[in-house]
Amino acid sequence: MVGLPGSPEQIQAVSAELVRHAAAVDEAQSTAKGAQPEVWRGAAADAYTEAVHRTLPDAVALAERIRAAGGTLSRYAAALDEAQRAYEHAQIGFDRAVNAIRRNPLDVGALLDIGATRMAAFGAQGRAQQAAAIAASELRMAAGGVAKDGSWWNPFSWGDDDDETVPDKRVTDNITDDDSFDPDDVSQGSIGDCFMLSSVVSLLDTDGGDEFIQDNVRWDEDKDGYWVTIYKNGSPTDVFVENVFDHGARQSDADDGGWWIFGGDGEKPSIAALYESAIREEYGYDFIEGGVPADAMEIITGRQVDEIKNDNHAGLSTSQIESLGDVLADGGQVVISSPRSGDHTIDVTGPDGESREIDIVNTHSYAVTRVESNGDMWMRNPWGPGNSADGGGEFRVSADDVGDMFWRATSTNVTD
Amino acid sequence: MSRRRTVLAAVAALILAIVVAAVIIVGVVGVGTTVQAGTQASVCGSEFGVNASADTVELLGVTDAPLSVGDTVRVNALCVIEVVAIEESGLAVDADGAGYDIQLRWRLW
Repeated sequence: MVGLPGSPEQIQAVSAELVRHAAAVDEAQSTAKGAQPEVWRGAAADAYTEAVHRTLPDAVALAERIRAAGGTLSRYAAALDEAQRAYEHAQIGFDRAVNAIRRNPLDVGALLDIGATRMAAFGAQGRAQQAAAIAASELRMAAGGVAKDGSWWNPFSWGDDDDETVPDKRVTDNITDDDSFDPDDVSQGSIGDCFMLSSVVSLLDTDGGDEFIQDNVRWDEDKDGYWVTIYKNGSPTDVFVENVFDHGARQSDADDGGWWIFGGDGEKPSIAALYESAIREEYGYDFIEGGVPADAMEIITGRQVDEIKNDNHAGLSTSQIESLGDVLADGGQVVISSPRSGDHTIDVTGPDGESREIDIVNTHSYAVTRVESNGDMWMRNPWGPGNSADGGGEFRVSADDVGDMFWRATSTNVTD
Repeated sequence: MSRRRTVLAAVAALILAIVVAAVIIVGVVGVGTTVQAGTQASVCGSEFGVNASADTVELLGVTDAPLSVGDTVRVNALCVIEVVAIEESGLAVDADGAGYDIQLRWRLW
């Protein structure tokens, strides 16, 4: 028989230990408070007194938080114990009813008992779940975070929203396979991180960028995850990534090999998804929900980033566009920013020479791939292939439209 | 035996009440969700691009017509989406992505 998971005894033991720790902190702060000899004078004594006054309130708060966490765990242990007993009792009743049905398939009473005991088991499961949610909320508050509502009775987790700010899709080693180093292998999800993904798309568009990513994103066989090197103030920082966002960047033309019915969603995460998780880990989820391309480009590449723009959000000048052509000709990476508002439907040309009408997405970043001698600009939308704004792939925007709409360009060169 | 009938009747009534409530919620009241401008959102099985301005939003791939608050559009055979609110997300005007939070409500009709 499989019961409800968790050990109330062990949780109770941890609770007791936390209470002891809280007492130890109380004692330490009491000792520190008392160690202020009247005869001690001078700069060192003043510094000590100041440090004590500065530190003691934190120590008091720490003790209170540890004590609160201990109390929470104690209550949770009691609730879990009660739920486990109820579940076990229901399970015994269920087994008894099942045996009765086996003896006499027409035993309606036993049939009803099966339903009743199942409901009782689900009820116990729900109470355990609710106790866990309340405990988690209280522990989060004790740790200085924000409480979340406890969940209602919901044994199947129907309708539960996952915390979308936490990546929860396990990575596999094929995210960086040979088929993944193509600019079309980035398809933005429902995170507003175009300003970041465009840098990854621009890297994937060049051989130098591919090599850069191969150096900075490495699979760890032993730990089943990726080490992603990002750059904080220019210094490389290795971040271990074992989960990516379910709603993050994916490869539009590949699947993850998982069957939908067994939890696979048929979508393979993009290399850009690894950057999403790594940057979220170091800077928080809010950072990746909209931002300035230069910030993301610096973090991803660690190189000097140049930005040219028109502060009034008007389009770039001819000379500015030409300078971007030079950057790209040198193997560099360029990201360009779209208008802040309005409805912008324009005609563009695809690599096959076919003209088509597309929508330019407002407050959006695009990766620039080439600049023609006449100022026409080739670019890609990080929304990826088949997207509803432009159909995906590379498209050529006339110099006039670039000059009318795109107001900021951000560039670097990882091959320098 | 009558107690068992009562239990069965109660269970049947409960199931019926749940179904009626589900139909009312999904069919009439609607289910709220928030998507962000500049992203590709997926709502009730349909994926579309979200392109917003200050007071209108385009659900690209569904309709090119800008939608205002209160407008509705059918995105697939079993889903109608209503624009409930278009709110600035509070990001700096120079930021790209997630400039607006779009509150939508979907229902069957």
